[in-house]
Amino acid sequence: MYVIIILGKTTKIPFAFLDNPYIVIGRANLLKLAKLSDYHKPNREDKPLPEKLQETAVAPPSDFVETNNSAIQINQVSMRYRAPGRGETVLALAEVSLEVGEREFVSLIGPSGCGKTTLLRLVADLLQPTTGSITVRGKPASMARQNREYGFVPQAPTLYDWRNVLKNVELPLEIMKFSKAERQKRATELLSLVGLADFHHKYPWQLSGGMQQRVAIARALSFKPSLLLMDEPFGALDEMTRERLNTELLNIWRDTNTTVVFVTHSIPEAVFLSSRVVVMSPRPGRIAKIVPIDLPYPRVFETRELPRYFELVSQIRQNLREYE
Amino acid sequence: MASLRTTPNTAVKPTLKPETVQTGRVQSLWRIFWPPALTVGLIIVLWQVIYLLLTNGLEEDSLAYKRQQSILPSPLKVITGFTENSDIFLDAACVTLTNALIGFLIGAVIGYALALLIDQARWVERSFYVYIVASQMIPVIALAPILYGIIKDETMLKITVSAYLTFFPVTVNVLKGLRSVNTLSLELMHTYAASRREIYLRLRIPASLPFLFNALKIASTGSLIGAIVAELMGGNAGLGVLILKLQYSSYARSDRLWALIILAALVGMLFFLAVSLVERLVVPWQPEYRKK
Repeated sequence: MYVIIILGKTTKIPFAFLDNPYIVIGRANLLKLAKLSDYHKPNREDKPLPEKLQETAVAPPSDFVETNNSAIQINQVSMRYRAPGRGETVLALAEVSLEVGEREFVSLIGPSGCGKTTLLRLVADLLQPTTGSITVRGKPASMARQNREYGFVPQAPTLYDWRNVLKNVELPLEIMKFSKAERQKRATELLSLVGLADFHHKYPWQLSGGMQQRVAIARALSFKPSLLLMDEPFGALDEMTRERLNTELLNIWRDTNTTVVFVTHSIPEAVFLSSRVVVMSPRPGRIAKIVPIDLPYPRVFETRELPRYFELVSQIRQNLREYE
Repeated sequence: MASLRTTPNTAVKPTLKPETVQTGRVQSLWRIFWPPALTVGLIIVLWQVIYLLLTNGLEEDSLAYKRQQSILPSPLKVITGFTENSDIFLDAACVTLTNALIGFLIGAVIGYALALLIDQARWVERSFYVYIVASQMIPVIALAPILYGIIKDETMLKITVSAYLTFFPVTVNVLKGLRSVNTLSLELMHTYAASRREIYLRLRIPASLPFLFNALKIASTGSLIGAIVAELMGGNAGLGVLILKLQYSSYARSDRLWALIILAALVGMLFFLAVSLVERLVVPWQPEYRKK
């Protein structure tokens, strides 16, 4: 995509959505071509993916707490649905405000109908808020989607049956016009990262549910988005698989420096994974409480045995009950 | 003859027992083919029995015998009727099949293009879909002579009629296929900021292929019938022409007509099988072909 700018004199062009907000072009009667697509791919080449996974999760980068930059800003967002069939409307979210810092892992938790999925879909620009605004890395949500700022992991793996595992991971890269060699390199790396190195040529239906979900995660990470939005990705899995994938997800989070927003209705899962848990309440959807999770890193299997872990789980359980 | 025909089936049957040592491939082929082989054998036996009952006590060359011959010929005569005329029959089948195939391919392309066009907007669908449905309400028998008046070329007429019968199932099925993609798959494409073209190329069109092949299987027989009907309008070569000729010239010799019609059915089956085979190669991910 090209923008043709004809300049007469020194001009300031406010591109709020670009990395540098102002492009200043000198006094010249020139026909300038600014290749926007170059700005569409921030931090694309600079972060190599880790070679291999370690057995347990270790601490996230030490600077993750100190960062003041917010990855997502949700300001006074309300969402009103038109109830199907009838004329009346339903308030799904009422004036929700939330800020998610860079490299944070935030879980949204709450009973069905509390609007947690709606909130995630608003951030993903799959829905538009009735009132309020959402900013993702300094840009409006719609611009962030156009700029491919985030990877999305839906409730079901949603792999395409006609593509094998490798091709499924390559799908976003094909759409984003990466070269064939680069696509294969990225997809191979990511499949090793999620522990599916030997499954390149399998088809989705030949994999278990947990494996399919791992492919979906690899696919979401393939274009190195700075943000990962996950909508109950492990909801359909058994407890053991879920716990194993939780550990893997923490590893990926640490290794890829992404910010994660994670929707779940499992309290233990939210506590184990998150740096903050956002407890939501229904009718209308609101943020009831934000619980910082001060569990130590690395979070390993034994983390689930810590007294503090149980305290946090029961605290959130109480919060959920209070606001129901 | 009848007993001769059935002996292979009954005689070979014991080899199905598990203790018989056979190579896997031969055995699996045998497993696939023995049920249809058995039914074909049974039908021929039944046919022969009925024939013998009907001709019982009739003197050969009597009028009653001739009349009976026009009702049900003996299966043996049908087979000799084919072998004696196999050159002419196979040539005719070849002509008809070629024309039907060309029409089938053209119809499939047009049908797919129409489905893509209709899928672009609701107003396109509302404006044109009704005509597409209406077009199929005109019987081919009535349409063929009208088209012949316009086209005036035997081969072109056959191709046109075959294409005409093919495009409709293709359009209807493919349209459904293009719209069969689920919301999650579509949303995923939105999260990649995929263009409309990309969504068609990487999601909607692949998802429509199983529907396309379903339509092609229906259309494979339809296009052949279309070609034969067009040939009945008059012409020089093809199964339809032969059917017409034999109908007028074969009182008491219905065996050749029967042979020809069985040949037409076999050609249709062959066409259908060929489409099924291509389907297996092009869309192997469908549930019925899946291997764990």
